[in-house]
Amino acid sequence: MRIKCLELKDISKVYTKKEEKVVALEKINYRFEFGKLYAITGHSGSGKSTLISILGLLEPQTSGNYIINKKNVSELKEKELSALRSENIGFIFQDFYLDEQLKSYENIMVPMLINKNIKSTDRKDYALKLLEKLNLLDRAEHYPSELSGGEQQRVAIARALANNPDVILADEPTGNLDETNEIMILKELQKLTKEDKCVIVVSHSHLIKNYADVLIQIKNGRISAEDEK
Amino acid sequence: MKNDYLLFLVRKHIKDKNNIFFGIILFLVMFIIFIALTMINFVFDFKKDTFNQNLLSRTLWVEKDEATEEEYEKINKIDHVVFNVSTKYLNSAGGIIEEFNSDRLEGYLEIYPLINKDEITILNGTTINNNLEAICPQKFYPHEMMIKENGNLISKIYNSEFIDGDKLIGSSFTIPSSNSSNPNIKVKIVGTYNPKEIFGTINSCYISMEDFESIVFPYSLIMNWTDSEGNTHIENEEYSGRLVRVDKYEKIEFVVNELQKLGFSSYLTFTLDEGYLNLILYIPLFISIIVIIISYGLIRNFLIKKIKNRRNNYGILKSSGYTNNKIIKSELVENLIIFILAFIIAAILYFLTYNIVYNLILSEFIFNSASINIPFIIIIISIILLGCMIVFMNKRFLNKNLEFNIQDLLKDK
Repeated sequence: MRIKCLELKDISKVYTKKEEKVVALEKINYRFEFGKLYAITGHSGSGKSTLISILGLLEPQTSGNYIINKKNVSELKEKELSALRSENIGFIFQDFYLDEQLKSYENIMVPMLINKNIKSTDRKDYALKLLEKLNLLDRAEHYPSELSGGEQQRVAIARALANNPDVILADEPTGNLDETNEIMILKELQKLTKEDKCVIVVSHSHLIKNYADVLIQIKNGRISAEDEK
Repeated sequence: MKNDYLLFLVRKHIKDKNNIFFGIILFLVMFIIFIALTMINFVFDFKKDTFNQNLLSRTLWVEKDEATEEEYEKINKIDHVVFNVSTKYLNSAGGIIEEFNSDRLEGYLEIYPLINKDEITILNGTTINNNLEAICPQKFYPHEMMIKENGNLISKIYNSEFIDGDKLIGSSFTIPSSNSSNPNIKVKIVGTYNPKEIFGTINSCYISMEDFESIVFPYSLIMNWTDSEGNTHIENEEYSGRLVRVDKYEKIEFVVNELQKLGFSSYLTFTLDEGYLNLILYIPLFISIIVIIISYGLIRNFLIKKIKNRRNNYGILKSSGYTNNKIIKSELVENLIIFILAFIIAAILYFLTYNIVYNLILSEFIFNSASINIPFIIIIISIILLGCMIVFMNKRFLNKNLEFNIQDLLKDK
């Protein structure tokens, strides 16, 4: 049985702005497991978004070791990091970041285009299945500008699931949504844990605690509290 | 398939309205460069042909007061002199030839004496071996260059109206005599030649020197000429002096010096006004340089703007697992497709313009056997250079932008 999903060892992140050093994360040690939904909370500037960016390989840590899929990312080259992003991680953003020139199903197909395990003839069917799973099949041919915020975020979730990754990371996925849509998105994310995925959500929403298995609080770049249900 | 993403992304992003602007810039740059290169090439070709091919450009009018036949004979011994003959052969006999008169072609011919058979290569048939024989152009157009239509002088040559000179071999035509004491002569076409070879007009036929003498008035030269000091001379007397043909244009100076040693003064029978040609040369050169500078700036700014606008998109792709190389590849392919489309449209419009300008406006050049060649190699090299410039700039700007971490790219919306 798979247990360890991601492991952080002494992870620090320091930004340098005009010779001034700002410590965003300081010696974070944590081990994430499969089949759980982690909620990372904290005030603005606490370092929670930096943490999820490092977890999603969107930016490198300044020091420490980050282990994913038994690989230490600091030892990997750009091509290997890209392969990890493609095969192991699905990222959901607060601003959805859908390609405005692509239809919903085409946005979902984008990650599949570089996945050798999905046949070119199966891509569209698979994208439509994901949309169906998220109750958006009737919006398959719509462009992002023709969708509501909640619908756009569900397309973004479908895109994050396109290559069937083990890890789903979401940075304030409900930040731009109303409460109805927020609940819908959180339920969808919770469902993913039933598929033995490791779901990590950064959020300052009060609703997140109802869906998370583990609550992690970040304060001044450090894990200040951990609460497991 | 390995490059499926390329096809997909390029197909979706090529419709970007910025690309239309980019395509229009590229099309205009290419079109202007094609035209400018053609004009530059034309000037060089025209100069080269005029000096190297045109018989008159290496024909000297040689004179010496009271020179004897023996003295004239000495000219033949000078190196590079092909012949020296009476100046009366400088004339041509022109006139309407009834046999060639038709609805569109008036049948006007220029008739010249064939002084040296070796100077004109026969393409079909034979050269003139007897009197009452003629050689005419293979691509034959018996017409005056300028025709009058609706009161305006226009020059028009239509490809469909050229006569195939080879088909006329064996047929005869009558040349009206301008010498009242001699009758018209009927000559038989025995061969065809290429007027381009001697940079002659496409309505010029050659006959033997004896036939030529019989139809032109032999001793009536009215000449109006200006010497090197700018004095105008009007002469109406017997032909004086000699025509001296030099084998190569670059040997003229040598022959002139040798003639001077023998006491002869000499003048070129044809000189080229290079000032006008240089103007045709400098204008496209100037335009080309301006276009290259402006287009460099426009293309550079466009690529920078396009890449900046797409940073968010690059962030999305990178977060989905795309490598920098894959992103660069898809952008390059997209720009190259626009480049190729712009090239195709520019090439089509260029060929259309070329045909219209060459056949309708510049028919005078065709008439004089001047060719406006399409400088394919230079055009291809310039297109390759332009393509390389775009690839280089695109790659450089993309590499610079893709160095940002993914979060920074994503935030750039």
